[in-house]
Parts: sequence; C-alpha cells; structure tokens
Amino acid sequence: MTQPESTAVPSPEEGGARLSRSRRTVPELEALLRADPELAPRFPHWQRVPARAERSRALNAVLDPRLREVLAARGQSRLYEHQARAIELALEGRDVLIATPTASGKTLCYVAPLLQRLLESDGAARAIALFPTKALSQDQSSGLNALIGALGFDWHSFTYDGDTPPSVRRTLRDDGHIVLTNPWMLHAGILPNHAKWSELFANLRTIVIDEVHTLSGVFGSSVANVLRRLLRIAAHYGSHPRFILCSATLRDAAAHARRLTGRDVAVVDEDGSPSGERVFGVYNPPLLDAVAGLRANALEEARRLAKHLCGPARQVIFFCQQRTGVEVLTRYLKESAAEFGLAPDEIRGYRGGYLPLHRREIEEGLRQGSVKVVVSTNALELGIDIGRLDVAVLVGYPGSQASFWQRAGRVGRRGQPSLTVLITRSDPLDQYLSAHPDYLFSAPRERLGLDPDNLVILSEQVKCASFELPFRESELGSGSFRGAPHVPEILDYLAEESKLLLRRGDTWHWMADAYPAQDVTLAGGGPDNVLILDVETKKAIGEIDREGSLTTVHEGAIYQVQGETWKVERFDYQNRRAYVRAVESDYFTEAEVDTTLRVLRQEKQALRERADGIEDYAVHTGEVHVTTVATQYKKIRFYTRENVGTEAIHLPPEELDTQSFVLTISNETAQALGLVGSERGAAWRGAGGLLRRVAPLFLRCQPQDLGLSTEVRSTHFLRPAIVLYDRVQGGVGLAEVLFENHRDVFEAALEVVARCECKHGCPACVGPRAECGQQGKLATRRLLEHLVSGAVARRVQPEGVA
Amino acid sequence: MDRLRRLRREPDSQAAASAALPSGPRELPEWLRARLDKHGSDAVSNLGSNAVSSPENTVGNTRCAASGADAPRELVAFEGARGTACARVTRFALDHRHGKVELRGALRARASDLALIGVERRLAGLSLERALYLDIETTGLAGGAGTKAFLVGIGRFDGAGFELWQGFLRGPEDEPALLDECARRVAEAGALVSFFGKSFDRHRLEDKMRVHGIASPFESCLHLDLYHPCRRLFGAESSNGRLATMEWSIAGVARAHDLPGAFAPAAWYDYLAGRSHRLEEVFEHNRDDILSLVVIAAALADLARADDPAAALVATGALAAVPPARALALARCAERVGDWQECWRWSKRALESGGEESADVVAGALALAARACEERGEIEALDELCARARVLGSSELAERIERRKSRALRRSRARAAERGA
Repeated sequence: MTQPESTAVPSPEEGGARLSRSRRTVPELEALLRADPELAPRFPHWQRVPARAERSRALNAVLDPRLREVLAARGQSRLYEHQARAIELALEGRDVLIATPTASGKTLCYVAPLLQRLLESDGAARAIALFPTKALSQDQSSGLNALIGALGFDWHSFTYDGDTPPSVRRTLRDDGHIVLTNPWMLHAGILPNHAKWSELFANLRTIVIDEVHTLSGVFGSSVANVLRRLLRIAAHYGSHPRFILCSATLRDAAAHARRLTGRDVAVVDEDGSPSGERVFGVYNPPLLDAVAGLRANALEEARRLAKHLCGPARQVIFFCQQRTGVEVLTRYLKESAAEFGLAPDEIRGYRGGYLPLHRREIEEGLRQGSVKVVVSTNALELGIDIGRLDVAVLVGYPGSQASFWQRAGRVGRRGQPSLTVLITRSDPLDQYLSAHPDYLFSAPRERLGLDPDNLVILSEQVKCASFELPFRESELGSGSFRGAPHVPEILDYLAEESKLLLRRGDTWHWMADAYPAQDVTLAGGGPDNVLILDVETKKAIGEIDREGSLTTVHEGAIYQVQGETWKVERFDYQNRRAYVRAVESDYFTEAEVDTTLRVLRQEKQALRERADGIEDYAVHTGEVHVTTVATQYKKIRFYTRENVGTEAIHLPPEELDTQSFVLTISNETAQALGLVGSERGAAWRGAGGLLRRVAPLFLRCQPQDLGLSTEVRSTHFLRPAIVLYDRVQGGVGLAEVLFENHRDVFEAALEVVARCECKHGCPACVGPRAECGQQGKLATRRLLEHLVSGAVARRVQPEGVA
Repeated sequence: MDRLRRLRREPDSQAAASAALPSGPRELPEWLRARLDKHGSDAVSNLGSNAVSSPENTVGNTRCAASGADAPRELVAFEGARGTACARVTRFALDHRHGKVELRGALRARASDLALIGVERRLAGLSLERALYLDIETTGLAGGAGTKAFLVGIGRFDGAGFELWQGFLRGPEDEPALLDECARRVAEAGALVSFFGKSFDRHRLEDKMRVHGIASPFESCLHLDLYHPCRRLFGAESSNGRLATMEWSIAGVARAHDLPGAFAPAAWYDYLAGRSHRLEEVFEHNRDDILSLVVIAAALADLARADDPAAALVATGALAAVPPARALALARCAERVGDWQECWRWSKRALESGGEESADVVAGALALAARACEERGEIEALDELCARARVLGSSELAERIERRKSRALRRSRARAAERGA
C-alpha cells in the first residue's frame, strides 16, 4: 500500500487488506482518488451520468404461455421496455433494429421472437443468426440450447463455422432450427451450396444480425450484398424472412440498417434497463519530458491505479489497445495480487487469440464472480455475456466514440454506482481528449459508411449470385438486387467478356468450371488465422490473425498467455503455424513495421494551371504497390521498460497492389500558399488526415478502408503529394470515385475546417495540434480555399503515358 | 472490336475511353471493366476466345436439332411434367463384351454376394438385373449450386438386352425436365449401381433436384457404390481409387482414345457457344463408364464365389486365384454384415493358401476365424486356431482365442441347460 488509508487502518493480519478493501464502495473509491494529493491533479475531468430507473412491463399478450413460463423461471416475467417493444415489433412482422448499449439484454430481443416462431409453427420455422466472431456465436448457441431445453422440445441451434467437423455438417443442415454462423461462412459455404440447406431456406422466417455496427466500410458493403444473395435464395424457396438487428448506439441507426438490408427497419433505441449512477474520470499521466510532451507509460499508470481500484469486493475490467498490453498488464497485476488482497488466479487476461475453452472458463468466472480482475483487448467489447462489472479502466482511447461507450457499457450493475477511468496516452488524439473531454460525452458524431452499390463489390457479388441461381431480368425490378446500379450491364459483361455466364433470352446462366465465392473476398479480416503450437506438448496454445502474426509471432518474439512467456522458435508463414517453447523471460518484444508506397502507373490526370501557365495543382488516379514489412523487434524489460536489445525480423513483406487517388500541388503553389519550411510536413499531414476523414462521406466507406501517405516531396511526382489508397487487394473503386468527385471532397473538407470551433486542430478536423503542428489548421484551410476557388481542373493525358 | 480494345485498356483507346466515361446509365464505367478483366479471366482459361453465338434450340417433333450440324447426333426428345429434354438411347446385346467380360455376367450375380461385398445387408434386396447403372458428367467437381450435370447416363437390362439412356442438356433451361426424368427413372427402379456415386453423382443430382423442387428419389433407393468394395478388395494391390484402373485390372477393359474427364466441361461450353466441340467423346466416355459399372459389378459378385466351380468366373485370370489378403478382406466384409458362415469360410481360405501369406494377414485371419467360430459355437476349431497362434509366436492372440473359447463353451452349456429345462 503506497497510499494512506482513509477509511480503515489495515490490520497486520492476513486478510486485513482484503477486509478493508471489501468495505470500500465505488463512491468511496472516487472520493479516495479525488482526495489523493498525488493522483487528484492527474484527473483533469470528472463526469457523472445520473442513475437511470428501470422501465419494464410484462408481455403477456404476444408470447406463448410456455415461453412466458420459461422466462419467468429465469426471473424474466417482466421485460425491459426496449425488449418488450422490440419483441412486439418483430412478432408483428416488422424488420427491427435494437440499438442499445452493451449488456442491456439485447439477446432476449431476438431469442424470444425466434422461440415464439418455433412454438407457433410447431417447430417448422427456421432462422439464421450472424455474428461477427466465432466466439460470439458459440456463446449464443449454448444460451439458446438451454432455453430450448427448458421448453422441452427437440429443437436445435448450432454454430456452423470453420470449426464444425464435416462429419456432423449434414445432420446440422437437415436438423438445425437456428443456424448461428458468420458472414464469411454464409458467403463461401452456405449460399453457394443452398440446395443442401433447402430445408432451412424454405422455412426461413428470421435473419438475426448481431453487432451490425461492426458491418461498415468495404466489409459492411460486401455483407450487404451477401444479404441480397441470401434474400434472393430464400425467395427462390418461397420464404420472405424478416430481420432482427442488434447494434451499439449509433448515429442515424435507421439509415445504416436500410443500407445494410435494403429495408426500412423500426428502430428501438431507448434503453429500459436500470443503471446506477455512472462516474467517469479522465486520467492524464504525469509529464516525464515536458519538451517532448512525453508522459508516463499508460500501462504503468494502469498498474498504479489498480492498487486503488482492485479488491475482493469488486470486479474490475481493464481494456488495452494491444494484445501485448493485455499480457504485460496481466503479468504485472498477477504479481501484485497480494497487495490487492487477491489470489493471482482471480486476475485473468482475455483476448481473441485464446482457445475457446480457455475463454469460456474466464467468461464463466466473470459471471460467477470468481474472477475479480480481467484485462482484455476489444475482445470483450462485443456482446459476450459476462454480466456487469463495477469498474472499467480504459488504457488509452479506443479510437472511436462507439468503442468507448461499448467498453464503458461493461460496468454498471442494477442500482449500484459504477466507475470508468480513461487513461490518456501520449499520442495526439488521447491528449486532445484529455483537454476536451466534452468531445467524449457529446452525442455520437461518427457516421458509419456502407455502400451496397459500390460497383466493384456489387459486380463480384452479382457473379457469386449468378452461380447460385440463374439471374432473370424480372428480378431487376422486384428482387433483392432491385435498385442496384448497372446490374444488367454487369451480367452482360460477365457473359460476353468474362465468359462466365451464358445469356439465354431473359436469363443469365452460370457457365464456368469455377466456384466464385472462393475468389471473392469480403475484406474485414476473415478467419484466416495462424495457430500457435507448443513444441513440447504439440498442442495449440492460441491463435492470431494473419496481419497481427507479422509482429507477434516472428522468430524470437516472446508470446504471452496469462502473463506466462513463450519464445517463438519457428514461424511457418506459409502454413500459418508458429512453434513456441515455454521460457522464463524477463523481457517482452515489440516489433516495428515499415510501410512503403510506390506509384506503379498513372492512369488519369486532371490539372489546373495558373494564369502564368505554371501548373497549380493536379489530381491523379494510379496503381500503387504498398509493401508492409516487419523490420526489427526490440526486447523490452518488464517494469523498467529498458531496451535490452534489437534484432532483425526476416519475414516476407505483405504486398498490396491497389488503386490510389493522388493530390499534388506544384512547388510554386506551395510557396505561394506559405506551405514552406518546417511547418510544411505537419500541415500536409493534417490536410491528408482531413481528406481521409472526409472522403468516406462520398465513398460511404470507413476511414480504415483508406490508406494514407503524405510526402512533402514525392519521389514519383517531385512535389508535395497526398496519396489515398484502397486497402483491399486490387481496390474496390474508391480512388475512381474520389477522382471524379475531387472538387466536392475538397469543398466538404473546407467546410469541416471552417466550421470546426477548435483553435489549432482537433480529431474532428485536421487532427490535434500535436500531430499537424501550430499552423496545421490554418495552412490546411488556406490550401483548401485555394483548391476550391477558381476553375475546376481539366482532364489531360497523364505524363509518361503514351 | 473497338469496344473490346477499349475494355482491354490498350493505349490507343485512351481518348475514346475518357470520352465515354461519364456516359449514359447503360454503359459500365471503363475502370470497372478493367477491374473485372483483371480479376475474372483465369476462371475460364479452357474456353476459346471465339465470338459467342447462341445455339439454336428448337425442339423438333421427335428429333432435336440442338445446334445445327454440330449438335450431338441421335438425340430424341422426351416430354415430362417439367418440360422437354433430350436423350440418346443405345442398345447392347447381352453377349456384348466390355473388356473381357460379357454384360450378361451381371445377370448371374447372387444378391447375398452383393450384400457381402457392399457390406450392407440391405443390398441383398438389390438385383443387378433390375438396378440402374448411373454415371454423370458435370461442369465441375467443386459442387455448389452453379455446377450442372449436363450428361446423365443411366443403363439397365430390359430382358432382351442392355439399354443405355444418356440424358443431355441442350442448354441450362432443359435442366428441370432432365432431372425430373432422372428422378422418375431412379424412383421406379429403386436400386442403383455407381462408382463413387454415393459421394458424388447422387449429391450433384439431388442438390439440383432440390433447387428445382423435384422430390429426391435417392433416400429410399438401394445403392451399391462399387468404389468402396474395390478399395476393400483390391486396396493393397492395384487400386488407386480410379475407375480406369479398376476396370482394367478386374475386367480387362482398355480404353483407346478416352477423353479425360477434366475436358468434359469445356466440351459442353464449346457446344453452347457454337464452337467446334468434343461432346461425342464425352458421350463415349460416359458410355464406357456405364458398361464398366456392369462388368465390375458382375466380377465382384463372382469374386465372392471364387471357390465355387459353378461360378463361371471371369475370363481375365486376375480373379482366378484369390490371394490371402483378398480372402481376408472378404472375411472382414462378412464380419461387418454379421455373416459368420462366410466369415469363417474366407478367413479359413486366407489361412489355407499355403506359405506365401504375411504374418499380419495370418494374424488377422486367425482373429476373424476365431470370432466366426465363437459366433458359430465351433469349439474344436478354436483349439486349432489357438495352436496356430502359438506357432505364429503371438501369445496375446492365443490368449484372446482362449477367451473366445471359454465364452463359446459357457454359451453352449447355457443353451444346453435351457433345452434341458
């Protein structure tokens, strides 16, 4: 104990600390933090959200008595208002979106209608439920089966994913009433083989999609088309299912749902679940180096706060941004367990790469209360059921308001106050928030981008759809692809040029020895994971996605699970296997990644000249090659963070060939606008960042779908350049749309800067000052004003193209 | 041609392309075409690049003129509940030789032998005389809804001879009619013989039937899939799991100019596109596959009677002597269907074939023979087997046989007591 106790003098006996801690309530914790002479000044902001009363009612009229009985036995004879409303709407045959925070009981909103439909139809009704992760679908499956068991029927819900053994797939296809799966499996496994699922499609009444806020950008646009295919197949077998969608609180949720499903949905977004008072504290670590703006490490600060927050009477969750962070903090906390009055086993790490059984055990421990402290990545941000906890500590801002609120939603028990602490890191965005905490607590400002009519995605998906069923002209007016642009032209092109289809009269038939879904990616990561194997036991100890594997399981890396360390002996990149051996390591590793962009070919160009005939600015499209390579890793000692060695990583680079949109200004114009000197790089970066944030409004994608590279002197163009590139292999046409609409994009960007009330830049415009410099906002504004005044750039032949 | 060049983004078309870019809604943007070209072309590498012209597909009264001069010959239209489609019908005499075996060999097969080699008691209800012989040609092996069976071969004995019916898709629109007719034929016969058909042919047809809302006839159908018996009985010797290998080693069938199956999809696509095609070879390939089903089924059934001089076996010589390993495989089949008489007969046979068998085969045969003896209550024979196991040097096996003997003894005493009571 480093701090004097105000509430009780710790007894010297074993368990004394435990006892005194158990008496401390959340308000007392807050008081303690605010009174502490060392910590209090580090909290620039406290915010209180008052308690919310429960609004609930019984739902007798619409639910089958057998279902009511089962729910009553689980203490759910009364439902929260939002649950009751959602269930009523769904049973009226409406498409419904429930947009309420984590742990508000969204699951029941779709489970009850599914079971009601099964009861009404004597077990004939079928449903598909989509989840963004395997873990979530497995979680839901066990819950559903327990309810079905309680109803006493021989109905089945099951998860169908890459882990489902082929031997049981057939039984599942024929006998499953509720199929829980993910978008990738639906796209590549179920839809192209719909005949095998004809029983399901012929009786499909409901499509559940959980966490629809994760379906955005290129990934979401692909999924929207997968849903078009799904509805098309259902219609072929004579069924017209309704949607039940669940999401986190969203800005303009109805519009997002409409773009995703093509339907007008009824939105239920008023949370009727009770919550105690919620207290938020923003914690800014002390400055270590005022000149460089370097602050104490956020993980170390989390450890410091843990001493006050953790204890036997509370459940505390820590959210880290990275897997390594989870492991390092878990190790720290386990080693200090005695100080908290806890056993090391009461403190657990949790992240996506753990094996399913391991995760289940931790989730169960959280629900039962035997796990007192959990350290997690965003893996616990989604709707896995762990009950509500008491205190949340966010080690770093998660990057979006939606994520912030999802994480904060993990705490707040019925009628009890909760505490959420955000530890801001040294980076500009976090520092901006610690200076402007109201940004966090205002209405959501992020809008999810999604474009079901993106022509590249649409074409690829039309290809998959025509494999599944012949495409008839009549569908264009009434089917699930109605209203999508250019569909007949795409079909004709696939027939005449690609020779994949054969047109006979008003019908296009698939006509090739190929399985198109295999070659069409949905983006969004996918389930293409690297398995981590212990060389001694030959057993898997975890898994990791392909992108993360480059920096986590390269040879020599220290891989951690629950704070224990393994050293990677061999990384079989080709076969997605990493072989590790248990070691006692006093250091962990951090890899560095280098991204380089090369312009391969310029395609289109438009430019404007000044009155004196000198080039002013130009926009281009072109093919670029982006190489990402893990270059080296540092060995960092636990606690001291001392760098004890650096070694090279030998892995092949990840290559991306894609399309880009480029803005260049001539050196003369840069001079004239005052974009010179040391400010230039920062200002140019600010302008690039702003365009990247604004472009999705036109592209209906997410900022993450675009890569950005800004150079004050591009080696290709020999002048300042901003390159925005499509982050999907081959591109999905984002660069083209930007090129065609560049003037509108510049105007919108200017409007954002001009309207923004910040002084020197903020995350909502050019980025925080620390990132874009003192002059960043001003210079960006000047640049944009220049670009949108006067004539529009005209098309020319690109240089160097014959 | 101009448009094509533009689509392929050849340099001289730049100006034209940019002029056309923002044009009317009926044109695909040029960049999109480029993107589709880049990512869609390898799927159809086996197609020619000739201009496409849709074939005529008018149906005559009896004869089908499918695509002018180039249509497969001798197609006859048939009409069913789901429309019209075509088939070619070819007849063979009962003494037609396929390889070294006459088709009529199949007519001598005993049902119990089929149940034995097929390891399924139900198959005792299947008659090679009344079953259908099924083999299909598809547009791909991957499966999925886009894969079509464009040629469905169904053979059957009709008293006077053997009739081969080859239903053919003149175009995708014929699919429902063809599938409906297949379903009708299969349901009527109620019994099928195929090679790998339980895993492939059945599912391709069944999937497409479900798509078209045609009731599947397969669920209640007896189905002898020759792939598995071939693997079981010839696994160690010559089987690589391919029909061509089996038909050669079992029935001496050698195909002279066989079109590899992988070319079949291209042949059909060429035909649809009005190009010169190799469909005739696909018809022949399918015909030979079906005739092979008949002679392999006949040979395997005969094999189960290899020591029966009355079985007019097999001219090939390949089956004349039953090697111990195959005798053991037959004993295993018998064990799985619980036919203890056959199990005893074939395990004894494996043990009697003198000297050349490996220790593994002997041990396996002893264990099976002991099991058969226990089931049949042949206690003296168990003594003999036990002694042989000791000669072999396997005391563990000998002990197992001893235990079987004690169980058999207890059981026979209990039965005696029951009778006494």
